[in-house]
Amino acid sequence: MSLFGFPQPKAWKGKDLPRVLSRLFDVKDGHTLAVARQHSAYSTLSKVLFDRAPFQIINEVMDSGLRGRGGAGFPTGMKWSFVPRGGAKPVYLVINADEGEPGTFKDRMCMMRDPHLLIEGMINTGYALGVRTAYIYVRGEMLPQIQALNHAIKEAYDAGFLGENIAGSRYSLDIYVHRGAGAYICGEETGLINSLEGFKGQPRLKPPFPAISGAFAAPTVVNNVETIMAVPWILTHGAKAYRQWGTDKSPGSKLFSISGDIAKPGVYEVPLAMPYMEFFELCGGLKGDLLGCIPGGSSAPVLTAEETAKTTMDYESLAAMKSMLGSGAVTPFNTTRDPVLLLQSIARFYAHESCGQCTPCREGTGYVDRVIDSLVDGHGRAGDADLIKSLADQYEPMTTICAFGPGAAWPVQSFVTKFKSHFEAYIQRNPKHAEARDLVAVRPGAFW
Amino acid sequence: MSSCANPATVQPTDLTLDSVRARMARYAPAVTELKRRYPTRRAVLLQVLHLAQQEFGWVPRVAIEWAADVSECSPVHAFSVVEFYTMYRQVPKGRFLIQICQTMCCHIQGSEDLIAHVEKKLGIHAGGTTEDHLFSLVRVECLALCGSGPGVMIDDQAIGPVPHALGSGKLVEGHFDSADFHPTPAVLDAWIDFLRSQPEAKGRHHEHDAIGDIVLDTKGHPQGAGATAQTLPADYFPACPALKVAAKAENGSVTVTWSNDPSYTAKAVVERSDDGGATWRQVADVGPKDQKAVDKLDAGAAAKYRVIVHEKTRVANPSAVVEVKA
Repeated sequence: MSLFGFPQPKAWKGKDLPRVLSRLFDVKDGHTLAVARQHSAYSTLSKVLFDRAPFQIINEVMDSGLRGRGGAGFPTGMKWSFVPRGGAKPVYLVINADEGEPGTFKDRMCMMRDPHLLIEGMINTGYALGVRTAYIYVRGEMLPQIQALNHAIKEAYDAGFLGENIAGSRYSLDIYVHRGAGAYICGEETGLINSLEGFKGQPRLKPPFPAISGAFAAPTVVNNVETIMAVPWILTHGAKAYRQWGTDKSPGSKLFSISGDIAKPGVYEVPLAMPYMEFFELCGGLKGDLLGCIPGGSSAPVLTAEETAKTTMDYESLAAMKSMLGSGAVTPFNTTRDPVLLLQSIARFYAHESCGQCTPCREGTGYVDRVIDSLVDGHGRAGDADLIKSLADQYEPMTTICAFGPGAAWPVQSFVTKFKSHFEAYIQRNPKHAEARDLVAVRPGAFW
Repeated sequence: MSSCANPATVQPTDLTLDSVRARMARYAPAVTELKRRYPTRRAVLLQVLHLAQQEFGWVPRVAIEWAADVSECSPVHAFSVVEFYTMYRQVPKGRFLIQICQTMCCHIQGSEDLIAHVEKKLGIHAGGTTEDHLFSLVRVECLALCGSGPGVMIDDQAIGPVPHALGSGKLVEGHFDSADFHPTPAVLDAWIDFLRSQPEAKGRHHEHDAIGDIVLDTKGHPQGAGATAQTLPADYFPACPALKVAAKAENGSVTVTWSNDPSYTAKAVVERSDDGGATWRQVADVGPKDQKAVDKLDAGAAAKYRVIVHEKTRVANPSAVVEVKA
């Protein structure tokens, strides 16, 4: 079901669409425990979970091939297997609900429409990892979602699905919601952990990885909302059933949030490896002629129309295109759009959101932003396209603590390379474009 | 996106740490609950800052000191945290805060035109507050409302097509259920006119619980202040069984392999039956990591094998039986 009440086909090309994550999206009052229970919520809190040892759960998830849905796509079961067991320190599960990647709005939907599925997935995961206390770190702007989660948690406590001895078992789990305060970088897992601990959300150097030493210096698993919501289905139906969708390396279904020049924007659950053009058709078709598509949130390198037409929505196909699936945000734009202005808004976003910790990223993102602003304002110079790219090249190759630097550089590099003529057109608008650029106005340290 | 006002010039002179404490006393149940939930005191800092902002509508410096005191960190640390996060306002804002997203997807959907329209309607620039202190307008980065863009939030909720009173009852996400809703200049006009006409417009600044109606009577984190939660017992799950058991005969010997969880296992015992499973005898007793045992089996003979995993205090159910013929 799409987000905005558009009817979505239940089947596509003669096959049922998966409803692993979206089973309650179009059910009235699906966020309440009573209705969710009618749709098999918490049915894994039975022998499905409690008759199995933790490593069996981890193996099942590993066999399913489930990959992290937050952006990086790391295999979930493998991430869990890194957590040391039986140590003196508690193990923490932290849910990353700091959704802020431009173009992404799936978690907002998930938490509002089916909070009980997230809680159930957290119980499953917590059991597998030996977690006693789990946190959901929700983006500060999403107060309605925080209310919805707290309401669902209260219902789950009252029904005996949370707290001590869940559903009569020997397992106990408490879940606490933590409100963030507005910082894109807190979606980075170590930044999120710092923020949870009451620090500025600046990412930490790795190693140690969170699985060894994360929140409160204890082993910690940070997973995206959507990742955890797939776990109950996998435990109920088995890893093999999950692999009926997608490819060997990208199995299962995924939520895609589509916006931009499309007839019916929204959140759709489709099998991985669906061709982009087919997906556009499912979403009511494109508006206008496709110029390009940002396939995985603003960090993902942009695809041209030709590249989009031959790409499918899975991790390896996009990697072959030197882009990425990211968070599953799809933003097609048509020929009436100006790629330079699009990049301007992306560059401003990254300059605003850089946490300021590493020099290449802090200075570089602002530098790029100011050069593009100057170009758009009609002060372009002959070498500007190359200048912009060469600046991005300096914070792209992991010269920074976290992946924000590369993520900020990829859109810059790809837009400048693939839509160079648009940038040249801006440069030609300045009658004095042949003169050398006065770098003082745009260089690092310039006020912005 | 900060306002132009300098925080140093807007601090109320009558606010002292004691008067802030007195005003924040009504949040005591939430603060007590928060302290229970985390193993460190510092972790409550972001949450109590939200509570302070709920009380004052912004965070005066003395309130930051109060938050530092509650979370047992230095005031300078709390100041740096307030500086870092965009949601903490260091200067007062108008009664209603209008946030409009300007990033990528909303840019495509016309956010610049919408911002220009609202600026004209309110007679202020983005970042400013109207003279009657009713509306503040800010440009923000992605609000995760890309599908129904340009994303607009008024106070704590994403707006929908029908204006409704803010400040009472549950938060509504009005953009959710209406097909093809996008905030247009007309929609924003309707919202602004409606909010202006509300009697509560002049009233207190904040209404909703800033940390989202948390459950107030949990047992907390085992190391939290005043918590009663117990740590997880080591045997909260059944003993780890042996899985994927396989046996292969070769040159008069049989190799049995399996998988188990070495972090819990003390030893694994391999048993053999020559009478079709009626009686079993032990043929090997190996350490947790081996997951492999070798037994003799004469050519032409057949036998059944199973593996039983032992933990320190528990014994798992026997594995599935595998049959092998030499």
